[in-house]
Amino acid sequence: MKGRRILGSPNDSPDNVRKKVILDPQSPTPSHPKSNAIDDISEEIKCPICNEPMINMFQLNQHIDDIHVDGQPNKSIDTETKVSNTSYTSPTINKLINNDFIQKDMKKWFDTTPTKRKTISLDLFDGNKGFSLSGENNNDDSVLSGSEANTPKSTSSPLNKPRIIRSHWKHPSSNPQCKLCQKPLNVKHGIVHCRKCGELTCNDDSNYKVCLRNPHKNETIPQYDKNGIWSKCCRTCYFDKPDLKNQGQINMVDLTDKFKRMRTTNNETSQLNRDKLIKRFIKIINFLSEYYLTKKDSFLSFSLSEDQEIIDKQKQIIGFENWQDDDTINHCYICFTRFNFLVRKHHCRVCGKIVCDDKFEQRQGCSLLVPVPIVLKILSNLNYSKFVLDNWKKLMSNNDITIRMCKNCKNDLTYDFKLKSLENPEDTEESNNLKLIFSVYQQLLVVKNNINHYLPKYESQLLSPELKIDITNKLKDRIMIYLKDFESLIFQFKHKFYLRSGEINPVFSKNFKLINGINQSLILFLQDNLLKFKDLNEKFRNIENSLLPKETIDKPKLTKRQIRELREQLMVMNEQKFIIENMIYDITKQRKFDQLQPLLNNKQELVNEIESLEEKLGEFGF
Amino acid sequence: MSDNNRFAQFKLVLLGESAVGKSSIVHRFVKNTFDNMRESTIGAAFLTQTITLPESNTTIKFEIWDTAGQERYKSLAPMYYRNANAALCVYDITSRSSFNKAQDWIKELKKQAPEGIVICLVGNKLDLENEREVDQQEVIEYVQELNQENDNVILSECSAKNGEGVLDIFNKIGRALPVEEVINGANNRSRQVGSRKPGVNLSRQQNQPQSSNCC
Repeated sequence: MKGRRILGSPNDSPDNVRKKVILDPQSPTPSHPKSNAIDDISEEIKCPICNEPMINMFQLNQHIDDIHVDGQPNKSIDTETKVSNTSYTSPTINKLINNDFIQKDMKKWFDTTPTKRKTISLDLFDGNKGFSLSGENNNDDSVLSGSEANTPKSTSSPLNKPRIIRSHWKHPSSNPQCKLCQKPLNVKHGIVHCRKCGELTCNDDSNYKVCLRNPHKNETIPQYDKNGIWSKCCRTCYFDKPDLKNQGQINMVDLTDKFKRMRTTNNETSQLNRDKLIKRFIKIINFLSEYYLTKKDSFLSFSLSEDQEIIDKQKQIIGFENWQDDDTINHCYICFTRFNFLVRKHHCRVCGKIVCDDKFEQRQGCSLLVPVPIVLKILSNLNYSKFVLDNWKKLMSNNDITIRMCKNCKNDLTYDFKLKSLENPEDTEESNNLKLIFSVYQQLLVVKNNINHYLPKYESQLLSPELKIDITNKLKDRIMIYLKDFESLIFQFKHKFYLRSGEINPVFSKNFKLINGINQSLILFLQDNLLKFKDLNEKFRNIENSLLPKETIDKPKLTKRQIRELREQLMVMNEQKFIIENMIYDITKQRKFDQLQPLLNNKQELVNEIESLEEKLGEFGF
Repeated sequence: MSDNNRFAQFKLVLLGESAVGKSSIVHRFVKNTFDNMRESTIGAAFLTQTITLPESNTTIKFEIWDTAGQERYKSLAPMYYRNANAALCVYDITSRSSFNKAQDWIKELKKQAPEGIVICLVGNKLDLENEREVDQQEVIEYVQELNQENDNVILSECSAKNGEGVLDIFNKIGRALPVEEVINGANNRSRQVGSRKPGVNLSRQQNQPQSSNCC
């Protein structure tokens, strides 16, 4: 247990570590063939274990992976029990097994990084702890190595954390097979007990982790517990995890706000940085143009001393503290290539950092000697001095004046320009088309917003207990007008961008996706809202009807004159009914039965008519 | 009812201003009588008469509803033309206003009556030719105008008093009616019922397929 340490508290002296490094033949030599810049951190970083100075976090990361892991085997991954029980004597086998399956899984992730790094990444991937920098020397602690207490988590937890019991583990038979894939279990495929169910599985099928707690009195196997110990388990047990099983209940953390905040702060700082660089750049250009244009008449080539003069001046502009000292820097800050006889050091004239040159484009083009006219062309509307503006033409035609710039500074300086060129594409036919489309769309949006605004109002009016008929009516009319407008606008839209045949006008064929999308969304919107509106109207009518008592409907409907007319009609009908009845009587008497049916039908009609009239008249009937 | 003597029933309604001679025409047609001092009709009278079309050897029975022309009974008219097969719009050739009224009736029929109703515009009182107010040429033009649009309006003039042209009207209507359809429809049903009972029901059936043409 003596090997346990908390991050940042080295108990191995650097010398010790170095010795180990030397002793360990497997320690891969540090190499950073394709590493990229992640952060540029100006402060010096030291390895917390061996105090070796590092360029940045990235390198430190690799350094720790490469050097310190090997010193403490078993540190990163919870290795398969049997092998780890054999412990320190067989680190090679251990490694072999681990690497075997890890390489299969993770090949695509880190194909260029050394194998040990993968081990750590796997832990990271398991997502539980992050990785710890301290190792665990469990040479003399073979019991512990079997349990999950060995996972990196244990570094931050008490030493005697309870272990998950192992009493339920299945004893391997003579020819053990993986429970899930039926592979024979041996050194090659691994023999792993699932901590949850105790079954034997191969390495591939036990590459999962869940939080477990020890079983209570009446339980036989460990149970899932959020606050438990991270333990290895088989695939079945992993996917049986309650939160995975009921997918709807997965806990979600909304990081949007946090992200937004971080993004704005990041954006602001980078904007500040850009502003700073642009100011410097202006100063430099002012100086350079003045310097060269005034001296050019007398000299065609520049001597070293003059170069020194320029550099001094530039240092002054950038600020001496920003001008990196040649002696302290050994690596290009962008590509981390170590400087040597061929890879020379150069100062970026804008930020003052030391970068490599990439004349032959073998590396990443970290810096370049840029002719000033090219930069000026792009950054034409900066606040240059009067001199520069006066001699603009001269400057633009002079390709001899150059300025060294690193890639980052170039990107920062041209940031606004690029942004602009994205925003305002050149005035081509296409952009005109786009403008046209969007202008029409804008109109539609206004109406759409209106509808979106008034429809919910209308709805809430309908739902509210004290509904005012006149206000609601007004709302209804307004929405009706907007919907009509919207429809006619859609027609206009179609007329503009579509041919009669329904195909897109070939003029706009390039934007057909956009137009189709707009068209579809508009129609959908219209349909949805029309339906909704119709429903609401129905509701409104019902409410209106229920609000008005019956008399109020009937009273205005029946004027005195109407009543008179209806009464007269009723009288006529009754008369006719009487006549027909007489006729029927006569005809039956006369036995003219062929005429009977039409009369009977007619009588029925009359009866119906009389009924409906009486209903209409209501209390005004006879 | 042998097969070579085919039979069909149709409902016919008379419309027009009062005192144009609707009842007189019907009585001339049904009973071949004329009453100089006929009392105005009350409500609607019902009469039947059969004719035979010799060329197709078809017997057509008309169920005639003679409506009263008085304004008072106007509300009755829709009930009768609602499912009629034919309508006679009668006007008095000696009265301008009666012709206008007949035009109104035609308009109303086109609006309200079933599709395919046979409309016949009849000018009555031909015996009073010397008191004529409605020019025949004008009526012909009006009918032609109507016929340009779609359906056929039959034009006819008659005198109920001397019987001139009355039978002719009903013959014309008989020819214009969709006799075949009704007979076929009746044949599809049991023949026994067809002779007496179906009457109005049958003609209703005949109307439906026609109306389905447009809607």
